[in-house]
Amino acid sequence: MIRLIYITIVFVSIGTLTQCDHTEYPSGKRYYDAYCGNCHMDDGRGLSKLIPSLEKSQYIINQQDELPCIIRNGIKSMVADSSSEVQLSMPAHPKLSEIEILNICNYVNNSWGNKQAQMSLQEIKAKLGVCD
Amino acid sequence: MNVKLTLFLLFSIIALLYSCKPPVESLPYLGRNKIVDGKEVRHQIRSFNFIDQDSLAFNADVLKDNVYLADFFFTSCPSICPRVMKNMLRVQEKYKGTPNFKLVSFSLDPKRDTPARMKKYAENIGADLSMWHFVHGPKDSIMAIANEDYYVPAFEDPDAPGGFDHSGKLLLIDGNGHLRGFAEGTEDEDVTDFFDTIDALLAQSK
Repeated sequence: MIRLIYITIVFVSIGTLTQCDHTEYPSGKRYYDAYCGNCHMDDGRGLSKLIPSLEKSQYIINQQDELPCIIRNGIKSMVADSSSEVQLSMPAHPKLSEIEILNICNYVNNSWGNKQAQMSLQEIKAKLGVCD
Repeated sequence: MNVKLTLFLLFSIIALLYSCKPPVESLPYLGRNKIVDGKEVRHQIRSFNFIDQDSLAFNADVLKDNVYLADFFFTSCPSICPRVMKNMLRVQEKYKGTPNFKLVSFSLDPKRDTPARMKKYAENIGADLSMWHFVHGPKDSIMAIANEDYYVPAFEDPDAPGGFDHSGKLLLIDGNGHLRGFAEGTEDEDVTDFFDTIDALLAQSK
């Protein structure tokens, strides 16, 4: 009987642990954690008004075409501060490869309540080809 | 018999766990002591004359008799600062309204971080400026107090993200300018544990 309880506990623990870490885009999560997570945080919620939240984000829906360019080149002035003389910007990540950007896009597009169609490498290349 | 033994073990474990928690009196004085005129003098944060986000004087008078938590940052820091600030905000929420308790963030990048820029940054992260000061001073002086007084490694490095290498430590200072504790500002759990240390110092300082 006790052995049965132990076995149940072990399986429930394993189940819970894998559930917590579950994402369809593990590579994207790895690159996001390395390049984006310090500011946008692991839960995508950012930091108050300084770093925009990516959770259930209308901005992400609106900026699908620009997303790869934003990740590569950053943004000079955040939308929330466009009227201010103080520029607070998102840094560029010029060393990220097209595949890494693809993985980040797909992870962000399908995490924290966001639901966007999966992007292909061809789409990423096309979008990166027309950055401002 | 077995029930008695189990209960005995349970209470022993609880007693053991409680005994691990350091008593309030044992909060240490950190840092290297100096020898002055043959006497040992406790390590102390030197006096300084800087300004804050409102261009008001920020010096020993402002901090007198206050317990404060210090960190080093810069507004364009793309690496550890947002995580550290998130934890500073947790401290702000927990100790809001606590008398004689302050938060102090020193900018390592005074060239770009003007008081106006820091004020905008502070407002954007939701800092309560009645308890939190963002400090601007000459770069050499800030670097010196970071490295020598607060024991936070900080230096300019063109290869580092944003141009500066620094640690995200939170430093707890008592009302006499003595360093009494620290936590890793990037580690949520470490900061949660640190609340006990802050509580202990505040209780001592009453």
